[in-house]
Amino acid sequence: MYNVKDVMRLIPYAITALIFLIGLYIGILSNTSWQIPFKAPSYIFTKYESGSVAIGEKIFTTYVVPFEVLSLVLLAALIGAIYIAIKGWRRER
Amino acid sequence: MMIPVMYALALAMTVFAIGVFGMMTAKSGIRMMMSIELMLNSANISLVSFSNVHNDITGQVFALFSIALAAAEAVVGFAILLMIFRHRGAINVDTINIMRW
Repeated sequence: MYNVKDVMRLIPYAITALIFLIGLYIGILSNTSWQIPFKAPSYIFTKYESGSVAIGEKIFTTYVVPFEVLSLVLLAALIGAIYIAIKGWRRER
Repeated sequence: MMIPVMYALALAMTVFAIGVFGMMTAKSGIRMMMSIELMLNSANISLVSFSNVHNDITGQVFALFSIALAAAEAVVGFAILLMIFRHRGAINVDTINIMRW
């Protein structure tokens, strides 16, 4: 548990850090050119009727290998989590 | 309707700062996992906003990959927290020292 006096002592440092952080945000956001295109693009993608069609086609053509690797990652996480949980459960009984 | 990229990036920065603050001041393991999810979701916000600005769908594809990896990370983290809770009876991260060498 934290002492209240210690926390009160840290408040000026916290306010200083907060002001520094907000200044950093404003400086970064206003001084960086985000390379926004000259003509504002249409929100709906021109080739397809909706965005999800384009996302699905991109996933299953260009990025199909990362998609499959991702399925392996999810399977490994599932097996690892079940292994950890079962081990603790058996020791408990 | 186009949302300016500044607003989306300011939102992402704010959510990331909230996540870092919650991560550094967390005493509970659940709150730590929630803060990690906030930080990952701020990265997703910036990916989707840049995808919208540049009219390129790749950012949204990688946002979907990032969401799936965040799910895997949450699974492993909560499994570790569950094991620690069975060992100790508490997930107070101030008192956990079983992973120190």
